[in-house]
Amino acid sequence: MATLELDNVYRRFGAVTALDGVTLEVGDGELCVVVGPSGCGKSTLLRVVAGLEKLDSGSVRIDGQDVTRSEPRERDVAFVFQSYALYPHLTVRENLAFPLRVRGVPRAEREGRVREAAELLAITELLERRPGQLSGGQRQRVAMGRAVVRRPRLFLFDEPLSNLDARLRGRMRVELIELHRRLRTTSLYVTHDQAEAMTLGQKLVVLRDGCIHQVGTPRAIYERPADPFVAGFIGSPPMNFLEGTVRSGSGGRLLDWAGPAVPAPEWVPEGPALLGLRPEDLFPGTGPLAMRVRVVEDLGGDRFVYGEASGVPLVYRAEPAQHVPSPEEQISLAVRPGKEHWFVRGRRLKPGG
Amino acid sequence: MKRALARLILWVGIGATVLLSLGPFVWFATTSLKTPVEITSVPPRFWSSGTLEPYRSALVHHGLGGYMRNSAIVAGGTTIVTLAFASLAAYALARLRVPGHRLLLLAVLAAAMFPQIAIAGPIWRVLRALGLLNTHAGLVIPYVSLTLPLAIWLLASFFRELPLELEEAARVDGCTRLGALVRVVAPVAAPGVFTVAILVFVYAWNEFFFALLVLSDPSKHTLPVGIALFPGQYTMPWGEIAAASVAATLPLIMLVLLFQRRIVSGLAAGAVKG
Repeated sequence: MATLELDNVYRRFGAVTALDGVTLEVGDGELCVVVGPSGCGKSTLLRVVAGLEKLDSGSVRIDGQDVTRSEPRERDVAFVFQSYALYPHLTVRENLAFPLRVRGVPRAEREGRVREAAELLAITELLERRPGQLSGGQRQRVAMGRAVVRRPRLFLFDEPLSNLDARLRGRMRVELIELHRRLRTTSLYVTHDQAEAMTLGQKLVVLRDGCIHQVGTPRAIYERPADPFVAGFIGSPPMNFLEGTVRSGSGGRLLDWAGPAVPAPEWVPEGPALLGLRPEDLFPGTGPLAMRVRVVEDLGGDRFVYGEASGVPLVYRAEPAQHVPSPEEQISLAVRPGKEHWFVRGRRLKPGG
Repeated sequence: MKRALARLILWVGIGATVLLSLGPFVWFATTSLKTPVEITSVPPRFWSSGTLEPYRSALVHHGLGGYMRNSAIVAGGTTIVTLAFASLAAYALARLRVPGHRLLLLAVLAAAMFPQIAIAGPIWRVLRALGLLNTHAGLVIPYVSLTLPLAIWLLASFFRELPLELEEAARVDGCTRLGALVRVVAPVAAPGVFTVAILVFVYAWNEFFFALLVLSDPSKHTLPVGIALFPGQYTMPWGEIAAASVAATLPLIMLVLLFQRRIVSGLAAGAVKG
């Protein structure tokens, strides 16, 4: 049980800035998910917390204690690697016991804790095997077991599920949530998969180019993305964007873009603006968007209709009962009122201000 | 048709290789079991009567046991010292951000290029100054310096191939860098470490030139020098020489067979997704 605080952390690799002044707080027992495209610095962030990577400036505190210059072994954190990094020359039992043995935990206690961790992760029957004899999912469990057995102050997960197939990933995701609910260990979890981030996180951190773009609950970030990057990155299929200029017309404000002008609320200032529309907030009906259908993606439960309007790509989610248009059909789309996201100069506009 | 020809060439090649490399050894092995009369018989006979007399004679009259012991001390010592130094150096060169590590590796390689005869004089003088002439330590030191470059190069390439995450996992799990090297890197790199160990051991076991240069006391002689000095002024004890040569080869064969499994077993499998 511990808190984690990062204060203005910088890390450069030659000309590349991996972490550009990251300040982040993770509360006791919280599961914090850092999400961002590849190369955004999220792995570096995790490695800085673990002590595997030095930082250029800034500080890291675990439980209020400054560990910026501490060795990894002094930090009392557990790291689950994307590649699992199991010790191939040791059996599963020895793998689990390794961190305890290194730390000089007495044999009797060691055995008890290994048994406990193995039961928790349902790998008891694998204890005598070597990593080479395990499937991907089993290795994943052993890697988590090796973290759990330590009872560390922090769990650090570096894309632990990205090497599993889709079905197994879904299952491990649920198990991870349950594991965290039972152990309540403060965790930092890094992923590039925004769907994974949405389901896991109590606290979501969106990172790009070493900068934190937004911190919040998954729902809050989804409903009120702080800037166009977050809006486009979180959500699948991604948000639709209409880029244009807002002007005052005879009947109120209008957004001029590539297609016929769409109405804008009074609180959007005149000038360049970006209108974001989630696929589920568009529906066929009398509206300003004339879309030519290109492809219909039927995922069984959800159906997404892709097309374009005046050269701008658009996608909307067809409701189950709705008629689904066929390719090359011309349809008109309406916007669910109040669901527009307005961005001016790269920031989200709040209604009324 | 073409395939059959390729196969024929392959087998002829294999046969020739085996005959060339094993033939002399087999001839010596049968010679070591012959009586002096059988050895000098004309025409030569391949089969022997199976007498063990040459072995007994080599042990009793020529001090084969002592040479064996000396060789074991020198080769074993060389292997241990070389591995200790080489694994630390190779780890540093493979993993740590040592400034100019490329240049260092090249320098190490260059050091291995000097012909032995070019450094024999200086080494002899150094050993004399240190009072190490005619001691086993005095032989281990040049052997270590001669085997280190190869050992460092081989180990560095083995270490470089190990996933970095393994060491990082060990360090997060509570190891120091040295602890991670001893507990995780070395065992996982065991196939490489054993390969290097065998190469170094075989070199030190077989080396003749420095052994002759450094050790003049017959009781300190290693096997190659000892066997070379078997012939007396008027005698050529072929049976004893053959027996001693076979006896000198057996430990090497045993060593390779013993460690072969560990070398081939591919211990690194299953460490990371692959």
